[in-house]
Amino acid sequence: MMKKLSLLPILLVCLSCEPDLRYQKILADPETYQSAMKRLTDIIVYDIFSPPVASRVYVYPNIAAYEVARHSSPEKYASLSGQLADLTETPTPGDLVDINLASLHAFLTVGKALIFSEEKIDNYANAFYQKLTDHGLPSSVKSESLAFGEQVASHILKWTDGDMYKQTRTYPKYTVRSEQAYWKPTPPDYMEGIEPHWREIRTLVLDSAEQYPPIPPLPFDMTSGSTFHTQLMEVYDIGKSLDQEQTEIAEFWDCNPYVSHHRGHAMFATKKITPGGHWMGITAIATRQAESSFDETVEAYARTSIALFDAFISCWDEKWKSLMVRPETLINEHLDEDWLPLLQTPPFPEYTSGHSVISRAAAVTLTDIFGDDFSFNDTTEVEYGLTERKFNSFMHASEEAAISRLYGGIHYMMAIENGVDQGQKVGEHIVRNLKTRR
Amino acid sequence: MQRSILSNWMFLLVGGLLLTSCIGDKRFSKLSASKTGIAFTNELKATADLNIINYLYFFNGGGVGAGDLNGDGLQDLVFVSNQGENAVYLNKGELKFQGISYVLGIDNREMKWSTGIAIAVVNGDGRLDLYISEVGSYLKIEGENKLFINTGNDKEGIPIFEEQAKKYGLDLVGFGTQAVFFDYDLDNDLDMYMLNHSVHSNGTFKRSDIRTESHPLAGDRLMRNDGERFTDVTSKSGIYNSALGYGLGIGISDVNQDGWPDIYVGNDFHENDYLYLNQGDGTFKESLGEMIKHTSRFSMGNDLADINNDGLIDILSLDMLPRDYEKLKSSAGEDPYDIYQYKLKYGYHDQHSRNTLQLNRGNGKFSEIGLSAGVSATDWSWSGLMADFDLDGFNDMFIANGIIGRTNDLDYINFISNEVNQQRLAGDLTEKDLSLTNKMPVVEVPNYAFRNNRELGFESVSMAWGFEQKSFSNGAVYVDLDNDGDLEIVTNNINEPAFIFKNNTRERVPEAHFLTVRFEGPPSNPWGVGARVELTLSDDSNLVRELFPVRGYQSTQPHELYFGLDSLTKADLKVTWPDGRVEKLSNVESDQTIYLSYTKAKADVIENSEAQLHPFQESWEMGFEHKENNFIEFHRESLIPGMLSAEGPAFAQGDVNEDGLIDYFFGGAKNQPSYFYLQLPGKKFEIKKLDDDIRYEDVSAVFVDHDKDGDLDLVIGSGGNEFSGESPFSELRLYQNVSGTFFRDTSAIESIFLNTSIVAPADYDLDGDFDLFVGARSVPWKYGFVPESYFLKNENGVFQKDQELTAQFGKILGMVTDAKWAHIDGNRKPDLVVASDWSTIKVVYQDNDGFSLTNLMGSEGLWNCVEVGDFDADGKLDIVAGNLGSNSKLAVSDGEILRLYVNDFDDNGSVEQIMVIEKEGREELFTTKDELVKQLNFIKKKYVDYASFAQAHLHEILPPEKLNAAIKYEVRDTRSSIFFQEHNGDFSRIPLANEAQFSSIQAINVRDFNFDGLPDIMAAGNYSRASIQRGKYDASYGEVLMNWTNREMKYIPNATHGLYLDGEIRHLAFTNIDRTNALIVVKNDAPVQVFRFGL
Repeated sequence: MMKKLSLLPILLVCLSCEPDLRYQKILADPETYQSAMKRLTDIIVYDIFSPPVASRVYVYPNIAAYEVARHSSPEKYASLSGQLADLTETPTPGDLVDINLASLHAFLTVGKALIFSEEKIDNYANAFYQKLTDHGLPSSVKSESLAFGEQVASHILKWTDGDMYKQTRTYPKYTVRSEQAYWKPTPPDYMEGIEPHWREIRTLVLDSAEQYPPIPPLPFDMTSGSTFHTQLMEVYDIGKSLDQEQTEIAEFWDCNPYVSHHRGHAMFATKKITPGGHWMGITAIATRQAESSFDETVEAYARTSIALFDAFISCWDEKWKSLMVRPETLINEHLDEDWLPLLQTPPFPEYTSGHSVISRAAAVTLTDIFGDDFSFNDTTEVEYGLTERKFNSFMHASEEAAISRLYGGIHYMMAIENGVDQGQKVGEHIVRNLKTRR
Repeated sequence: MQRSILSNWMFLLVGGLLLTSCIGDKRFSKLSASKTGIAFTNELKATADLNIINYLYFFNGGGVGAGDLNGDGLQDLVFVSNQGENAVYLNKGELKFQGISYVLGIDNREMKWSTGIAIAVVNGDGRLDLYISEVGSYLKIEGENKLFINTGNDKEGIPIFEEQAKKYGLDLVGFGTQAVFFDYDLDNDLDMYMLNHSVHSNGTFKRSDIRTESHPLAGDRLMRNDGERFTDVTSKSGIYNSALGYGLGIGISDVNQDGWPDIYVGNDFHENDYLYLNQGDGTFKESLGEMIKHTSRFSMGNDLADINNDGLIDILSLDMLPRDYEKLKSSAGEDPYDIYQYKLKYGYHDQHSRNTLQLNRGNGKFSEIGLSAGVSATDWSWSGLMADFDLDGFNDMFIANGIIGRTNDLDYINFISNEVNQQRLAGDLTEKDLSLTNKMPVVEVPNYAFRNNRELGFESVSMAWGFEQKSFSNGAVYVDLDNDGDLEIVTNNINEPAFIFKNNTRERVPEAHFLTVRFEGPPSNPWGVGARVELTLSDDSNLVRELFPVRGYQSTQPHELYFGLDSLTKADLKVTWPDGRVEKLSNVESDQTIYLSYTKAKADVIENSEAQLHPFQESWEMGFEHKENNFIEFHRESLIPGMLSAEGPAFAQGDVNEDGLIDYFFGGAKNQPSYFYLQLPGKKFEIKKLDDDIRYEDVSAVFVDHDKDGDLDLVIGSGGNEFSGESPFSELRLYQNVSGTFFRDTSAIESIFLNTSIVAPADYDLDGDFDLFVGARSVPWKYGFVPESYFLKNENGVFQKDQELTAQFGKILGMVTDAKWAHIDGNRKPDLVVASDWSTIKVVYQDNDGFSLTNLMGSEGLWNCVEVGDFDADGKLDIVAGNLGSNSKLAVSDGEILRLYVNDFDDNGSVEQIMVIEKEGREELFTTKDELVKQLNFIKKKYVDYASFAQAHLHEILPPEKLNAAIKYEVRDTRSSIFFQEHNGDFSRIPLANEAQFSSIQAINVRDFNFDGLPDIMAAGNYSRASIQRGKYDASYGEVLMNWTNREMKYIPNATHGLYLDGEIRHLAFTNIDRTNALIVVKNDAPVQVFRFGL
């Protein structure tokens, strides 16, 4: 598919003299956007963001990029303003603007505001803009495009500011409750619970955090034979008899941004992408495989990241309401003091499984874009030392992501099954209510 | 031109000369290997098979031993090499040594790991043997501990050794750290305690009850000497030998003066240190929790010796707290609040990651005074040795430290180590991966020396004493290598030749005298291990030393005792041998080595010492137990220096039912009723609950007859810092006394709402009835904002807000903690003395012109309580006030400033409290970066890594305009003090005795204890709700200060008066129960305790 660029700047350059149009090729190439996304992911990993916060770092830059990129085919793409909560109409570009360049710039500008290691974005942006200049980008086009990118970015950032993130930073911490049924910090770091007030964050498409609550968790009951106890034993038993494939699946979908290792006084951290980051990786694979254009690529990222963002809020709402204790806590307390889950238990309540909710919401969105019959080879985790895995569809991948939490020893079956349902509803709601095409 | 060159040369020449003489002038000079002949280096080589990642103690280094191996009267040296060959050096005199390592045979194992060295007569033949600990059976290391029996000298006078561990049953296989040979059963032979460490390296901590499960390799061992062999008697000895035992330090001493040697074990990580009291029946009882309030956390080496010459043995235990601010801010520090509580719940003791110095207060009680003594932070520290290096009669300190890889560097953990991925960590490391461990920051630092200032403090003299060289020093000994009476220091270093520091004291200060004591013991303990020597000097000072040569870290000190006598040349000496035999010598001349022989000692005649009568006797619990509710303020105001929610209970006394017996009121914490204890004859009480109002946290109460109907009514103020605004639970309440029963009466008091600290009654308007001052402690949710205090005027039995006074003073008295009406200026109108947090001691004077406020100049402090008394008997009232004390990370005096900035620094509607300590012009943040980032998210973006945060100055980290606009508090002296009123009405401040500065003072009682007509002081306190970074304030046992005239208030040792108060004391009240004088001690979160008082 060829994309329809605004021809005006090209004409202008042509008119000047011996036009060097190599930069246009660079800008037209969707890999340009893919590379910027990858850079954002790398910084998210480096800076260490928790999964819900990482979903926020992904969503706003992609929305900003989309709100620019849609102008490449105004007849095809609809604005998200009016569709996302509180987002007012975004600016429109002038004639000289190269839409893709402006879109990238908006992406990088918003991204820079949300991550910590700003110089890592600056270095990337400067090198990239220099490359464009070296490949004939006229300074007028550059300045107009960056200015427009900036304009949209600042519109988005102003809107971002109202999402309650800043306020929730200093909300009271969770006071651990002593009753057995309730969540407690887990080994090895016994970190305090992550984002107990994430439900206060403004949802983008959902009416509220609690629009699609899962069915309540099983009643806490440690008597042998109770459904709850049986599910606990399932985690324990599976953990002891994992086969190679199950182990591989659990590790593949670990997606824990910060796993700490203790060797006596020595401590190490291994950092990986978050669950949301993994689905951004799948989006990259899908857009490449479908040979999506620059703007289609941006659209896919924007839609998927919005689904992830709302799904995290929905899931976190439930987590900090039901406050379900992690299997590791109960198993160490009652069954086996030395039992360790295959994966390090993440620092927040158990129910529902975050990966189950957000994977399903992302899969529903990607299926809506690329269809159900979309097999792909998931190489997202290769650079983190893991294998690649093949999936017949996005749904297939999301099913595996969900069950991986049981193999990993960090979730009961109820959190997986009900989490998938929750994600399905969130995903469907977003597909239904968010339209990028006219 | 030429002239100038010449003069430059001259300058260099002179400078060079000065420099040389400077080095010679220092107390110690480091001798070169070429001079001493000691070239031993503990070479460490990381391999894929063994490195810091698969063996957590890879950087822990080796020990040193000193002992006269060939009996020539000179101390020889043994060095342990972790991986290479151990080394033996014979002392040839004049600080020259001959290497004779070959006497240990050839060790050609490919892999071994040796750690500590014990030198002792193991087989009773009179010659010193060597026992070297090893790590056995771990990864590819196979090994067992080695016992080198000294078989005597060859013709050249060189001692020859034979390895015979198996023969004696000492071929132990385990994770060895250090063995100690001492006579625990007092049968005159040497038994052995084997300290092992653990290699468990998962970060999880389990319930501490696995402490009782034996572990074959990590568990410690007690081996009884049965003549030919040693028998493992661990299992019934009361010694823990579990995988939790990360034993790195061990020391022996009779800490409770019962004649039986006790054991202190320092454990790394979350496991408690152990203090095993010898029960005298072959068993030990681990008693640390009853004797010591908190310990170091990552405990390493330790030493047990007397620092204040009171004859009681004190304990130094080392940790790894950086002294340097930047290093501190980039290292992992204390646990977050919740995790700390978790560990307590799991059965672990209070532990803080800093060096601890436990001062023995007698009666089996210790006060941890490392912070006020100035020795709490010496970086990654291994050996701590207490000995008298300057021969002034007081034990000084030497600390050997340094680590090749600072594994707790936060940038390393968070940003660098990620390059080693999980798979490689879990599996095998390759040589290539090892390069990643090389990226750990290095802590190569000078060793520390501290001079005892004779006032329970230590002065850092590292540079002045010549310890400027950076190193990784582990094991260390003090030893008089040249027999001149002063102590050389020897350290075993990683990747650098051992240090020999010659002590120049005797050369520089010939008038500093010494006495060295050697022993000729009973046959099976010929070197006299366990002997205790007490010197009494002509100035009445008492110097006590015990011969337990294993001290410090993985090392053995010589089998002789060293005494510095300062300028004195004679001493009376008493030696007590382990079995209790005693010999006394009078007028022993100084400057010699004296030999004490067991054969000359006789069974001790117990002197008929009069049973000492303590004024405080027979304590009992009255019944009321205050139970603090679990409200964690740090969860909503995480940057506050400490929680304000545990400042109760309220207490009041008075005869409420007019039966002639004093009755008591105790305020409950939130969710606990308040109680009346109505006294009946015979130590009995009728107990009445104030049932209805259990949501109130009652922190202050007074009995006053507000309506002049002849009975005592009750006014209660509640605090807790939980409810804000006009919450019903922060309303001041009045209860009418109706025939001994109390009913709340809202009509007799105007509705005022505050987080109360104090209700203070007085007839301040002199109209014949009681009025009130009600002090406000804080604004809940907004610590640091100034709350409004109130004056209430009694109008015909109804308390009404005194609009005028409240308007005038209500908002300028600060965060009030205590107040007292008194006639400070001597006129007939009562004045109000106010203590407040982060502010001055204030006096609201009242004279004919009205009221006026005076801040006592320079008195900015963290005041908790205030009392008055005419201590100097000049007819003018003086003020005594309880402050934070000196034993705190926040303690300041002498030009340092503790500062608090309060503002909403990120405009998100919540208030941040930024605490800094200004030292040498730099404002050092108290909070960690992680704590700060949680409140001020923008900091994380500004400083992604820890190093840049650590380097940044306060005004770079926080917006200067926000700092300028902040509410700002400054404190310049945190010592509890008396303010003596001069004739002109000014006040002169004199801090209370050092012992009264060990903790936060929260209750003071002024009373003439010795009936000399002068008021004395009893002060008590403690505070356990400070932030974890600050730690627990628990070193006070209640201090009695006797008025010695001349404005001196003299500390009376607790052992003398017999009062030992545990816990957090909020009120000390003298009363009369069962027609006897009694002291009531009211504590937070603990039962009320009563002491009978009198002789």
